[in-house]
Amino acid sequence: MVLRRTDALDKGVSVARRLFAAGLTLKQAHEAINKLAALGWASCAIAKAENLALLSAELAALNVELRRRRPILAYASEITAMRGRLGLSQRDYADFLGIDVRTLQNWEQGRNKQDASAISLMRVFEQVPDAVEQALTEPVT
Amino acid sequence: MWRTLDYDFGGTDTVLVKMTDGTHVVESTADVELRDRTAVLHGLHILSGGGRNTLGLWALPGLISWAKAQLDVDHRRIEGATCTSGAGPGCVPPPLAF
Repeated sequence: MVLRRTDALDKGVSVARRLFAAGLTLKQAHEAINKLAALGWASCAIAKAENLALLSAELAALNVELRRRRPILAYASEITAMRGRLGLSQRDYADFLGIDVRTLQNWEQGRNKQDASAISLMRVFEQVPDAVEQALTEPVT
Repeated sequence: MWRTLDYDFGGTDTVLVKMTDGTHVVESTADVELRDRTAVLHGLHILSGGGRNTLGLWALPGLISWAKAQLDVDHRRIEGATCTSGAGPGCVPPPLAF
């Protein structure tokens, strides 16, 4: 799970107390609120028995959003759908990702599985394509 | 006179304490490190039941004295957590020594 601060962390102690009740150790809960204050986000492991909808609502009232990590391995159809939403051909998409187009085709057709870093990059690229393009290229001088 | 209402420490150096002086209820959490006769509180977060800034500077000396007695130390150093509101969000406050 990932916690994200949505505003000032005025009730950090209450957040820590709620995370402690959700199965984190006190040290983990304290580390989480320190990261929320400093970085704006923190990752943590919530006990499986916890009612996540209730926890999410209670944390939201404390300016903390509870987010679930998406599965690392994507289905082939998800990759095709992400490319489709960007309106890119397989060749253009592969060029942007810096991979061979046959690699992309193998992923989209389920012949091979992409690694975790590749799917993370594709998801980031879908959210902020301009930033990824800027990060992966450099001006020619 | 401050007194403890509730506390947790879970077997680590992290504490979560609820205390009151009869008027205010204050909760705080921090990593506590003991250095000789000094207690260093890392990442201190304070929640005052009455809301932001209700504790007031006048109540702090009593609270600090009480905490020093509880921890059996002569000095207390506070290294607060990063501010997320007020005049300097994103700033780490300078350490305070009492």
